[in-house]
Amino acid sequence: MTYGRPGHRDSHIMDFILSKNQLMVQKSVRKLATEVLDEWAPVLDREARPLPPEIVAEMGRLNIWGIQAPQQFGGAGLDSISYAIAIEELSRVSATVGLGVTVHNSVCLAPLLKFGTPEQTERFARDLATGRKIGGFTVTEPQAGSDAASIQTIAVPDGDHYILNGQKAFVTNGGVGELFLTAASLDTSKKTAGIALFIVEKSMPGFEVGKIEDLMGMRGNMVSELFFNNVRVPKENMLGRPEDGFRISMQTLDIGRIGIAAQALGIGRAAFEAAATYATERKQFNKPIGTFQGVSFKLADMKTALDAARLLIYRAADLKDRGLPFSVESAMCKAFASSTAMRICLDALQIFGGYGYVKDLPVERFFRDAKVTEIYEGTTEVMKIIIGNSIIKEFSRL
Amino acid sequence: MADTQHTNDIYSDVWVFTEIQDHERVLEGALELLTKGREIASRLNQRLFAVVHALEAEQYLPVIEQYGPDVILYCSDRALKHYDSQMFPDLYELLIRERRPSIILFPSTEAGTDLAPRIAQRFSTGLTSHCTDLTVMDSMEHGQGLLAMKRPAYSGNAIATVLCPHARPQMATVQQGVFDKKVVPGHTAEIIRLPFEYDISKLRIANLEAPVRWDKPKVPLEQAQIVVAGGRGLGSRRNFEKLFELSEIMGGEVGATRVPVFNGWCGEERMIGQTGRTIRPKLYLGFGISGQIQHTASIVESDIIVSINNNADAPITELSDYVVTEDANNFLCRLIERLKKEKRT
Amino acid sequence: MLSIAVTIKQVPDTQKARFDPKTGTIDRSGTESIMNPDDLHALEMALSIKDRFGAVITAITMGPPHAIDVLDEAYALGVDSCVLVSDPAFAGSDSLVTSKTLSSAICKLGALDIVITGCEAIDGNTGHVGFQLSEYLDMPLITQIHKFDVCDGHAVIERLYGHEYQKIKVEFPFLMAIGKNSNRVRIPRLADINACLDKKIITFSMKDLGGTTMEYGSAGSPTVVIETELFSHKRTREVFSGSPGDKADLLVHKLKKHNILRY
Repeated sequence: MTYGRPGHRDSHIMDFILSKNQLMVQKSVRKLATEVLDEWAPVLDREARPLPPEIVAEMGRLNIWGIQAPQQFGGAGLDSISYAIAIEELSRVSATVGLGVTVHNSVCLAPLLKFGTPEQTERFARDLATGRKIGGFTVTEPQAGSDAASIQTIAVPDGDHYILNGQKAFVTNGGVGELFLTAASLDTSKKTAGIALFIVEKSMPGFEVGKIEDLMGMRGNMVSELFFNNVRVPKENMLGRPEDGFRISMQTLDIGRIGIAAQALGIGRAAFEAAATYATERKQFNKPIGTFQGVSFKLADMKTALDAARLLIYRAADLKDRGLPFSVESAMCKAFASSTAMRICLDALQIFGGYGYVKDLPVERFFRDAKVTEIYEGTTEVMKIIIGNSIIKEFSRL
Repeated sequence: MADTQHTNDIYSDVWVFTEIQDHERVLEGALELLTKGREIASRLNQRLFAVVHALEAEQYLPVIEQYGPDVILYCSDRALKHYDSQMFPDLYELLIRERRPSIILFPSTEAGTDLAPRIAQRFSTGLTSHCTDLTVMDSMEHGQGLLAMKRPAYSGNAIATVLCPHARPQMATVQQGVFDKKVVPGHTAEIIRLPFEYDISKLRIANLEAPVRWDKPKVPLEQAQIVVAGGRGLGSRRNFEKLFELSEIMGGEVGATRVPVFNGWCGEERMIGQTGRTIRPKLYLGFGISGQIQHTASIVESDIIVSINNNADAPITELSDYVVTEDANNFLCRLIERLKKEKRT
Repeated sequence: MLSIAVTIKQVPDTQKARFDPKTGTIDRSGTESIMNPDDLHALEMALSIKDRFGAVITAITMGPPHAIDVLDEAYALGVDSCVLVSDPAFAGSDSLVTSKTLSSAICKLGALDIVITGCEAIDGNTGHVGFQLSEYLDMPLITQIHKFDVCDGHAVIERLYGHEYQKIKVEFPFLMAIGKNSNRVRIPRLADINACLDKKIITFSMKDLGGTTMEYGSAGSPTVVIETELFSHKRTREVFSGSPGDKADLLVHKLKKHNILRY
């Protein structure tokens, strides 16, 4: 595992302080979150509805739908740490908005930009980066979750098209998205080698949005089934070569996991801040409950874990920007941040006592939102497989 | 623009910009400044001037005279009906150059806060605004008989004492209500009428339509400057609704704790508390509210908190500036009556 | 295409600051520096005029070298050029000298149609600069603006003036002072934030403005602060006594003292 820049002699100061740009990004997204999104957060959750179009458009104006996309496509062209900061700030106020934004940015727009041909980026990038169209990424099927190689959606060549048939499950942004990177198999016997990725547009005949799931949390996201009924997809819409699909998907998830980790960090921070504020104001036995060690120790653990999660996320983001391998670090930050968020939400709820259990306060929503961060874009178990495999490889002397 | 004056020139006397309010009466704040000005002038052994520019200014002179000015300089003309940002500074500039006052005091009104800095600029002199106190000071370093002006700084977190040692006139604006007014019984003043000479065609802003009387519109709770809130202690919807009468008189908004909302005494949009709104008004009045954290966490940033509760130990008293231990309903009625009386006079 | 200058100021965040109890001044190490809130609204006014009518906006600030932070913020919001007016001689300026220095700098910007300032700064809290710029620049000052429009080469403005709502016609050039309730400040676009640090900042020093050190800074300021004391914000917890009628009277009296009840 190499860090740094081998062969270079310039002195590298490891910088743990945000740059001026990154601070300005943080301030701007925080302003968006607290001034515009804050009042919508409970509404999206309670009514299981998405953001209204005016707000989606305002976020487009602010380049939220294209945080890292090049400015020539209407994006902001920012670095990956700025990206993580933005997702954290959004998720702290509304985890479901953070989810929609990060899936759109990092597992739809990012792979398009990284693996797409100039014609493909020319055709699709601008609509996505400006938020005119929302995007998604779909691999999972009813019978294929962690075992992604067993997908049954098939793509059959027909002249200059492929015909896609199949069904997808748990598609984030499914109900609102207009463009989905879709994994389909050209030859199910070949398992991973047979999988290709297609850019599928909602407008294509035969494409259908199925049931919108009634979720425990992230309820402002229209997560849905997708049905492909003889959908004719032009050959020019294949992302990469026919044998690249699985590899691109895995690399896409590496990118996506940084965003999910940042999302979990935002949720955890929201729960921590709420609990810390409450603990200083709520008095029992004539003292603020935060002065009792049973509570203050929990808060201490929360703060430590949040900082650790943040550093892991920034590390993965930094490696990515340097063009160095970052799959393992990405898996680590996602596993750690999501389990941290879950633990913090549990403890925060406990600190709030009865008031934590009441829907009037947002703590129970943080708790419901946090859980899925341990599941999607690769469960914590899959993350540990990735990390474990890399350890074996590193320490093996054979 | 004038050169910087030196105290070698003779600058003497205390002036008060005696503003007329709504073409109806002398501004209370101006009378308060006359009283303070009287004190300062006497301390310095100088004269106090009341300076009045108004439409039909004569009618106000008897009242002004009661507050102790040695001289009243007045100018009366229909062009003076409204304060004007070009005309008044021009008129004052001439007067000041001619008569050279050492000190000028202005009420912190819209007119005063416009006029004072413009005069300060024309004389390259200092101005201290929103003063909370004015005294005469002898300073070893800066000089004798100087006006010491105290004013808030850092958004009200500090009080600064300011001197204007050399430039003249020394100028201050003062908010209404800071000083008390006091009549000087049997006092008479020398009254001097100033001729009105001004080319009003010089004025650069033209009204396109007849101006309309404007009373500020209703604002949502979070932006209200005054909030009157009610809780369980009011007892019933009928009692709670009296808060609307109070808020109407005071120009504020009505808020509530959980209890009134849950009992249907008012709508949810009025709830202030952890699950409702957070407010930071200038004034918060809590009637029959005990002060549970769920509510009080959302009011702590109010400038002034007054609590009315029949329990002297209610938690809300710890965060209050003023504590009224009375039955909330009873006091609410009294306060409404008292304010109505205030409005009538 | 209108030509607009906006004066902005970097201030300590006095609403969140920590204070040194001995000197009564701000503990700068613990306090963040921000753009004065009213000035953000002034920038927003300029930007909305640019959106509607087309304009070139210059943001100008007088301060120490680190005041470029507010100029970067102004670039991130969308202004076209930025000027820093800075010199050690300018330190300790009171409101009069600040207005004078700013107006000298503004005069060097070329012909302007509108100059916009914030109403009041949260550190000095004087509110003088708008009026004094109006005098130095010899431009009328408009405040409490509700609606702004341009037609036939002049501005038509609806504003509050005392108890009146007026619709007035104003010829260019003129000044506007903008406060917190005027508008909602836009959120900086991420792409503009990314680009802002590469943009040029023009600097004016005393040499560029002319004059001597006696005319600027504390040397040139007619007022001097001789003492600053911390103002305690603890709740007074004053318990009223007497009959309910007495208490009502006392409350009304207190509210007048606090300038909450008007006569």
